[in-house]
Amino acid sequence: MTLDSTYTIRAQRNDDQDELFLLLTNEAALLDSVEIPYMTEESFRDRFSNPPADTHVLIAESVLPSARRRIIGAAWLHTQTNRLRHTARLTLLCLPQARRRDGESRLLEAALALADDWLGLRRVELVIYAGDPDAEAYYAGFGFAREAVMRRYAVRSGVYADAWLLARRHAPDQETQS
Amino acid sequence: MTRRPHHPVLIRGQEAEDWEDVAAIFEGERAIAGTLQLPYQSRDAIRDRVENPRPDLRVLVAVLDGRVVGTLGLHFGRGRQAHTAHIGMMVHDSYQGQGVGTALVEAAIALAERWLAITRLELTVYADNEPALALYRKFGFEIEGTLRDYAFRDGRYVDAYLMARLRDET
Repeated sequence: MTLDSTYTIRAQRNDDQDELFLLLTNEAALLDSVEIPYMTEESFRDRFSNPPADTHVLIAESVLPSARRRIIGAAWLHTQTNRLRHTARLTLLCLPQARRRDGESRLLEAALALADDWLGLRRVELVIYAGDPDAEAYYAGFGFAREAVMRRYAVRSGVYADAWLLARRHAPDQETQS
Repeated sequence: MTRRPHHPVLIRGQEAEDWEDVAAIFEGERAIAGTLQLPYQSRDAIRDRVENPRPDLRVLVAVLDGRVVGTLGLHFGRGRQAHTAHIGMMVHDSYQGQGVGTALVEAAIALAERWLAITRLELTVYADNEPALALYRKFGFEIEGTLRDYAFRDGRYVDAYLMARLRDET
């Protein structure tokens, strides 16, 4: 299937449940995340239907030529508190055909604009599994730099996998609007 | 104060009744600065945390001179990260440099690795906190990277090291 290059980035809605569940429960999603196979719909609803107030959820939809819409990715910007309140952790999940392509790029741009221009965040972190220089280069294009190699970060398809901690820093503009 | 080898530090699990000693640790400027904690936390909030610990957290305390002078929390990962635990530690300002941290970390490693099969222990430490760095290095923690502008401390953003200790599986 080819996806049209028209995308909409929007907030999460109640009727996204079924599509989001599919986004989170496929082989590619397992390899990209720390989710566990056989996620129940109940636990999915508990975790994803009512995200906490400090988590901003962005949904990427592709608009097909038939005008049908389809969710191709989601981003969760988890803002931190207290002495980490200038920071957020970003989790991204995209369907394989949108991964590291236009779909994910639109989603990432929107999440970072939210972080930079509306939340005034200074530091956004992103974790990817190690050993993927293409992914590292892709995220470097958005200003992320590798800061740490986390050994044995998680179990992944039978082995301990290392992960790279990427971070992107942004200094808010000093000018004030009068 | 000098080190008193005749008064070894006792390590035990945190009890609900320890909350007042723990609250006293939170009054120390250095203890606050070296962690992610905020000054001016209410005693009620601290009491609540001590009396109702989170299920994914196990807390050890160090007892010296008949009072709790240090705490260490082991925060366990879940699911695909169940082999990992994150360490957070805090020592009373007046008892730093007396082996309290050493005793706490040693006990935490034994608990994590000998009884809970943790194979990755991790922590963050401010990059300029030399005594803490030396302590963690002594126990085999290695720097995995530098987290820039990691946290806000006393008016400025400061860097931290991510450190981890891996246990060989047997």
